[in-house]
Amino acid sequence: MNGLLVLFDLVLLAGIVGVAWRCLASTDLFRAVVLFITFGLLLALAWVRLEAPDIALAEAAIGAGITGALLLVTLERLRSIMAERRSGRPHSPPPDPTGPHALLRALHDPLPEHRTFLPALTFALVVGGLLVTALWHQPQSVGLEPVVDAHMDVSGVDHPITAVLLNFRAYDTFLELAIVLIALLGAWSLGRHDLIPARPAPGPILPGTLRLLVPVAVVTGVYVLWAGSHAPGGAFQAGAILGAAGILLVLARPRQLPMAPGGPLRLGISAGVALFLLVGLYGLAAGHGFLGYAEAWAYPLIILIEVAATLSIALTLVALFVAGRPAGDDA
Amino acid sequence: MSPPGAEWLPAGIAGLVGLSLAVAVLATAWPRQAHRIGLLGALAVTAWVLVLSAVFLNAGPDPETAATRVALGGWEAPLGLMLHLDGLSVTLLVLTAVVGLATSLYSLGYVHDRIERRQFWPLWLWLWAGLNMLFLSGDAFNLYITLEVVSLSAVALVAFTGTAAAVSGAVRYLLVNILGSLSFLMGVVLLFGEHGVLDLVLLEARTEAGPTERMAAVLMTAGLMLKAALFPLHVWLAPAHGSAPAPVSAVLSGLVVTGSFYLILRLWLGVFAPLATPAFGILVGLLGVGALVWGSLQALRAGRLKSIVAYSTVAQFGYLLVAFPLMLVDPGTWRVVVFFTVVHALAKASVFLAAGTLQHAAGHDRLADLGDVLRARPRMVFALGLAGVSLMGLPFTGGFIAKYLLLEAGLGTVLAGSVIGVLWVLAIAGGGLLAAAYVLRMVAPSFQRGRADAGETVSLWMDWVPLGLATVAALAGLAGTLTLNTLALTPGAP
Repeated sequence: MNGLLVLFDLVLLAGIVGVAWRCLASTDLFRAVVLFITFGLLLALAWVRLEAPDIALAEAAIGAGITGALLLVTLERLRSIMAERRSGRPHSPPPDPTGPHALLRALHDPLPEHRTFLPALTFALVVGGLLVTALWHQPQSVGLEPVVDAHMDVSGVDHPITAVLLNFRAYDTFLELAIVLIALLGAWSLGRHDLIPARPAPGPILPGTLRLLVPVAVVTGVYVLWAGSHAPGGAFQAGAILGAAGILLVLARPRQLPMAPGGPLRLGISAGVALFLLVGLYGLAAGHGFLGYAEAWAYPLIILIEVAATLSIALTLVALFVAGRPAGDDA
Repeated sequence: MSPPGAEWLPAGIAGLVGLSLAVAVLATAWPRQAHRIGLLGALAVTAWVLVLSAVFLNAGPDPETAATRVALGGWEAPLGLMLHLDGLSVTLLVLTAVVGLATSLYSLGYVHDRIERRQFWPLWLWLWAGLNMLFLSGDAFNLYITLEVVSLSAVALVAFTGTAAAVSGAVRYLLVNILGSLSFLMGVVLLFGEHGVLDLVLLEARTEAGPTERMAAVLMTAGLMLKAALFPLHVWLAPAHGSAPAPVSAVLSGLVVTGSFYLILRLWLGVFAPLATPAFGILVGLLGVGALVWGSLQALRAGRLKSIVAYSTVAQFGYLLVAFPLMLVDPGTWRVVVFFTVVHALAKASVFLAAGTLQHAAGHDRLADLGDVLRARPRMVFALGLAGVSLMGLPFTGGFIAKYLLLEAGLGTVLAGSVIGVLWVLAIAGGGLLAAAYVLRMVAPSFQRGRADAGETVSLWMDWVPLGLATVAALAGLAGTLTLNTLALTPGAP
């Protein structure tokens, strides 16, 4: 191995551990969130070094990007709640106990006390030590790579990761899509969001950037989706990129955002799961097994599922960022 | 038309997964009709499960080869993932269907607000689908994902009333679940790294008592114990189960906790079987005694009806831990443990549903002020009593059979010369007495003199479903032999 690369790995490793430590030890929540985003990006680099570009893409887009945005927006709302509380309006009626605000208030319990620090550290060191020992004894296992490689010609796609995710273990991927959807259903069950007013920014910079960035994000998202069949990429990464474009629009909002209509929105968020399930049930009826495809149809069906999944994931991520359900959903 | 035979089973298993998912997806996409979709779906899924179990038993399978495995998408393990149906999964699927149907009917009355209904039904149907998939999964990584589906929808359901107490209970529940899932996932990763397969049957054939297996066993068991609220990792249970809406509490205490316990049992009967040592068994058994004593004492002290019920779950799950050392002496005891879980789930769900009706009628569930409503609602008292009798284990109920068999196994260990067996026997017998004390505490106000006031009117569903489910729990004793024989059709288990 190249000496420079070893050095790079060592620095990366030290950086990951250091940033994680600083993130956990920080008493300033904003700083912790920023460090968490940095941590995600370093982790993505580590995945690149481990030759897992698919996971690196997902980690950068979802782990660092979308999660970071979600954390930041949560922090902003937490601050406005705290400001309300500190401004001390003791005689004003208590705020509505329902809605996403209740969740934030419940989250804002006192910070962990210092006396939990030593036990937590001991626990982490013991578990970590045992894990390292167990990993030390593990054989150099090749896992399922040879089995997957032997079946690539009947999978319908050229990229082994996509073949596993959308064909050999499609059931797992289907359930992961479902989990994203359930998370949104959970967030929506907590309350409605208010009308989002326009926030026109002074000067040409923000609108100009937006005009450039959003189309670029859309093209990148579509490319990553399309690339998934033969190279690293796929629905989750593409959905995250498209979702990021949507989040950018929600954040900048040069005009008042229209209220999303309930019915089409519901269809949009469940399209990925619904189409996946329909294809799966068709496979069961046609004798290819539940979530199975006829070999000749594998490629088009996989692409179809990925397109629907990308749209649903992007919509769901934007909706999670907005948090409450739109008023139209109750109509 | 002749009834479907054994050759229908693979399609039937995949069909059950497909059907329960289709119901959940449909309710998500079309929330306006979610309650109607939910009711029809509940009936359809229950019917499907009953047919499936009848076909499974009717096929007269050989206990050694009774498991039906279905390759999804036509990809056999180790490449693809397999669904797995055996006596253990059939039993838990039927339990889930019975409790699920009762909860669905009850929810028709309980969740009547138009907007709440739209939020409740999709989440509940996802939870049910998740449980069905959990019991049918035969793959370590897939188990992790189905667990996530179950936990996430359960967390959302706990929070769904949106009150501060419910939300903070839900957040606590979420953090516990994430910790438990991560721990479980780490174990899965270790096993996959060592053996290169995820399928449980293939894993079982390859595992031996090595350091990786030990570490994986510790991580996965600890994670699942956290999720199953097994003593001493139970502290999150009472706030979450006590503040959730009644149908949700019923499902959480009856099914979700049972799901995690099922997984512990499944792993220790299969993959981790070579790791069980007597010392480990005694440790687990002692935790069980702790759970019985601590949970019962908390239930005796609690001031709210639903808290009593929630703490009794902690106590009753102590029996499952006490049974671990018994299993090491007589491996067949695991079937009694499952039967006990089934009876407990039925009884506990009906107690929670009855408590929900009382809470709705009175507007609160403080035990001290519930007397008026209890006196005016004898049907609820009867439901509470009937399910309580089953929890205590009085003769002729399902609980009696389960505890009798457990005691028999305990005495067996004493006769086999184990001194500590005396402690297990005492714990099993004493736990019943403590259960009697807190069950009587719940119904006692109805026997005192005083005003009777029915409180708010409740719908017919809320009035009758708890009693119906309590009757099923009591009658479950009659199905004891059937359940034990079904469970015997689990290959690999003793």
